[in-house]
Amino acid sequence: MTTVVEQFTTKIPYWNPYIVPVDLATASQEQKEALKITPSNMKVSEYVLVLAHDPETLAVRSPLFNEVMYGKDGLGRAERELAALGASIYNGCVYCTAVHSSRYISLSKRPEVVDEIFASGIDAELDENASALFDLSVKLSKAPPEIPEGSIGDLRAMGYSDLEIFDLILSAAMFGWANRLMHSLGEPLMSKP
Amino acid sequence: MQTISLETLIGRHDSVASDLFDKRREIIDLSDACLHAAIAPSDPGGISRGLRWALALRMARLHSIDELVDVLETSEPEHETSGILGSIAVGWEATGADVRTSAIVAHADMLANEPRSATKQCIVKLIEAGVEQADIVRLSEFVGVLSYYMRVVAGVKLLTGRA
Repeated sequence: MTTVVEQFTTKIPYWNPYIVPVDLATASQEQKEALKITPSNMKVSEYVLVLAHDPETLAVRSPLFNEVMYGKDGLGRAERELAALGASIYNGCVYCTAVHSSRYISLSKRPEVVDEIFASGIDAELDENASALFDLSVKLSKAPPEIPEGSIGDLRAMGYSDLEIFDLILSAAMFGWANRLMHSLGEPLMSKP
Repeated sequence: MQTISLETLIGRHDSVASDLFDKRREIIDLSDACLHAAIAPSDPGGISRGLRWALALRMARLHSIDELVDVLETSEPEHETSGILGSIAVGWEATGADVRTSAIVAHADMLANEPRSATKQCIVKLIEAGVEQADIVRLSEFVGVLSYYMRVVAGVKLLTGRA
């Protein structure tokens, strides 16, 4: 028996699936192709093996995720991670928050931003730049989305191009998707049972 | 069902939209492919295309994504439609639906509107209602894709001054 992690943390928990992951030994060809399984690449996380129950979606989701989060040019990597963090905090996904807060800190060298977000949640008081990025991500994550008029103009006034703002929207939207998988199909544990 | 694309939903009305579509071509195409895999997959498993269409329309209405509502309304599947699916599509309770369908609709509503409230018990309820584990993943991906896609539409509309 191991404890469920309920508080936001930068320490990445173990993700324990509620659904039995696909067994690689009995996986269909379509599932193996979606998992990008090759003789030299047999290492796949349990999370991705759970998603392999729907190989048609997984096959297109993985390249989309990589393009949105790691694509060249446009918005910086740290800012994309902050957008992922805004969505994950709003949606209450402890696992995604841990992964993307630690990546944000690693890229930005700004642990104080994450400290304030963990302390105050969606009401975090951040500097003008981080606040504009974080707030837009949070408000886009609401259901339905509530993006205040003027928020795009504020980002433009700070020097963000339309392409960079689009990248921010894509990153936050992508985590609206990822959080709904990670948070509902399994739970974050202190350690592997 | 007709193919839905971000470009046709939003339109190339100005240079801002055209520029975004051109510079993020791969993301736009992959986003459309994900939506197609969610709404009209080649293998829908135990979440039928008719139910997917109804749930997509229900989510688009509740999120006020009018462009998606319009295109879904005109692409109602020829088969599998029923009074129950129509009720689901307009956002009403799935009155008269079987236990499994009712559980699927309730879970989709929760996951779309309040994902932070998801717990292990939600999965237990689906399994008790007869939903296979693979179909729970299909349903979760379906809601995830729609949640992503609708936010991209809303965001680009705002960015192009047409929200």
